[in-house]
Amino acid sequence: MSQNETPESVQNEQKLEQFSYDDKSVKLFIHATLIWGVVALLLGVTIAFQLASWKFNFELPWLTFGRLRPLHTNAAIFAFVGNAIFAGVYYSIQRLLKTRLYSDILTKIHFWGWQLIIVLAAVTLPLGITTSKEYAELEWPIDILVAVIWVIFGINFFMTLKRRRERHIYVAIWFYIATIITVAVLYVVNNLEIPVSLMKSYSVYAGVQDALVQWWYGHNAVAFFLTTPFLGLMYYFVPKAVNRPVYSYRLSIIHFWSLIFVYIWAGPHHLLYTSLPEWVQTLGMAFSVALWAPSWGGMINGLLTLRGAWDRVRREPILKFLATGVTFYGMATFEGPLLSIKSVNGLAHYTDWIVGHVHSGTIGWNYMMVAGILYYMVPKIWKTELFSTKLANFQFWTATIGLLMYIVSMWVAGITQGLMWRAVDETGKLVYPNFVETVVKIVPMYWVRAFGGVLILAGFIAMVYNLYKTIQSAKVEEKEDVFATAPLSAQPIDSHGGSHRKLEGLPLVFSVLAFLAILVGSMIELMPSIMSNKFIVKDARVKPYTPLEIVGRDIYVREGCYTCHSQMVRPMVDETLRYGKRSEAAEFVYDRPFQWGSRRIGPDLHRVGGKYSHMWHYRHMLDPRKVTPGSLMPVYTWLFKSKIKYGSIPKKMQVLKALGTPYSEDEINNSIRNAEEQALTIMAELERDGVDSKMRNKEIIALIAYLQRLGTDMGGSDEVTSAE
Amino acid sequence: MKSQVLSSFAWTDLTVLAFIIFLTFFVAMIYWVFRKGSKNLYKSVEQLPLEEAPVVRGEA
Ligand code: HEC
Repeated sequence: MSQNETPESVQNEQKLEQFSYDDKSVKLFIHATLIWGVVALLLGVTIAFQLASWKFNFELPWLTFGRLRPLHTNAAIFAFVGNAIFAGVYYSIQRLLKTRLYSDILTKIHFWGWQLIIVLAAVTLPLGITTSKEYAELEWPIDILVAVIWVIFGINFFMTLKRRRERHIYVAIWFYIATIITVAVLYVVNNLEIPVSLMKSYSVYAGVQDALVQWWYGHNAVAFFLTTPFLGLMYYFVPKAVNRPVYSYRLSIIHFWSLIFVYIWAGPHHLLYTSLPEWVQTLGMAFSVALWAPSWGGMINGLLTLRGAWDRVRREPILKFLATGVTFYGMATFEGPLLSIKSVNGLAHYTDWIVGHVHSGTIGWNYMMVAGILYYMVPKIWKTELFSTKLANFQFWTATIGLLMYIVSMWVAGITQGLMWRAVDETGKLVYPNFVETVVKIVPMYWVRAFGGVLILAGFIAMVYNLYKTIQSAKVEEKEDVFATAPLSAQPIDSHGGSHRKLEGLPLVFSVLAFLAILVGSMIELMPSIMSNKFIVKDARVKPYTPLEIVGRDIYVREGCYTCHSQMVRPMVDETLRYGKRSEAAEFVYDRPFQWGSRRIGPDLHRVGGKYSHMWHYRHMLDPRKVTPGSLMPVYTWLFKSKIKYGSIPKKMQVLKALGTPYSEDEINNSIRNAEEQALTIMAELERDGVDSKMRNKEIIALIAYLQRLGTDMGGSDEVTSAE
Repeated sequence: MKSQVLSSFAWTDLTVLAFIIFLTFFVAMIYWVFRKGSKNLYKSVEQLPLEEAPVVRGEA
């Protein structure tokens, strides 16, 4: 019952405006979703096998786990899910607003620009060109491109909104607006960096600040890229698929405002027990737990929209996928707040439990929703019937079973390993002092996970085949359909209550309000850290890295060691027993970017400096299993072949100096000589252990310099273990 | 000046401030959503996805 049936528009048929939809672009985004979906899942399966057996690293730099994992996450989030969002958003806003997308040219630039970004990511990340900030690994030139294309998307979207022929703005569109605004803010703020060269930059934030900004971003990438757009899609496609309105429109409004308001605060739950100030941690935990309510409000709203249609859910693939997707949204958003409770987090953080949680979100929620939406859209816009319902059901079962294998194996692996790490006997000693024992124990679970992944991939390929067969059966169409409706000007301003229009009906006012909602949380959380130098207590014992250590650190970043190693000893008995003194905020003031990591596939490295001899590291990097049988760390033979790029040091130091690291001009001018001398000292010790002096200018030496420096400023570990 | 202000400020107060802002926001929102006369409006808006513009040329 809306304006179309009001007397004016019925009487003045001639006043109707004609228009068509740009479904060609939607089709392009659908193709891209299918292609990148296969790539993202294939990468996921690859790295899953690399953890089951190190041999799958193939001793090739660009195929190692540390470089492929970032590519997998970026491909899944930005390539697969990203293209799916654009397809769904462009399809639904045209129909909800009864208008064509604002500009065919902008839509084209948006499409090809986004694909270019993905290709650039696929080239640079395996080459080790990375900022190492999770889900924001792309280097600065690509960051700029992302920002530009995102703004183009925004312009295209808001101009379409302006040209709408429907006065009211349906709730799905609010979720899209919040997405566009927030992702822009998050991406820009987190990626502020100063270039050293075309392919290398340093973050403007250091240490604790960098961590806080990164996880404010990281968490909200989940919130505003993987969640809000999909909630918008849910509010459009679920009612469409069952042909009845959403269960409660009021609930959807409450869902929207409380979700975007609360989500933005929750980031610090990624940093519980770290050197982040207590009050920020408490804030993050409280808001994360609160997040449970709006999330479940949304899930219930989605599921109850399906009420009375459950027999169809059993029969129709579209509804099956949508219902499962929404259910997993509920599961993931129940687990998330649970994991944010400090004591639970203490056990689960750094383990595979978190990895499982992430996948119940990305596979359970995003992948299932994408599948449901594609099964809905493809037959609709190609005007044909789905090729095979059987195949779609096959995909449903492989995806569901594969995902359950994934989640359960990660629960088992995560909890097992977490408990082993913290097991302390009556005499106060660690029960499993050798970290690798806790690794070997969970390797069987890695195999289960990998095969779960294969099932998920197989199901996806079945969908790709199914949809291409569907598309093939469609008639080739030259002309677009033409629709007609009354222009906005011919529609009554508002038949029901004017105050609504001021708030929810005007896109500009609405966008400003949504922006404010996310700004409040962001400011309160980030400002203290950015504005106040009192935030982090400086400690005179902490000194900047030496020139050679800078080079070593950049190698550590390039190789993605942070994907397997944390650098943050938490203040718990078992951690101080295992690694040494707890990490303190002051120790990270020169860390650009911070390297706290998020998963301990290998042990924490913050106190590794001085723990072993140079020779131990030398042999370990060459073949970890010679030193630690059972290790699943990749070999890094190329570090023993490529040379240290001494020439790059002064420029790096200048940038770091500009950012606040206290290097003197003299130190910068003499940096190359200084680095060569430090390399020679390390070499002298290695030569005594029989290493050829030719190795002195190889990258491994710089890496050893960095590793030996880690965590030593405030007194490192006491015993040195030799190589034998 | 700025640093003086900042140094006398206890960051922990922000937690309380955050809670107050959130509570105010939430109460205001609930009040807004259940305000008088909103029912009919929501009844019509929730139909939007189900309405399709009529086709004049083509087959959809
Ligand atoms: C696939 C995961 C993985 C990656 C990537 C990885 N490691 Fe490891 N690392 C491990 C595991 C597992 C162990 C424990 C077993 C062992 O000692 O090899 C380990 C152990 C270590 C140790 C010994 C720590 C200790 O206290 O005993 C060091 C040092 C180390 N890694 C450095 C690195 C560096 C430097 C990189 C990057 C060039 C790297 N690792 C990349 C998995 C990884």
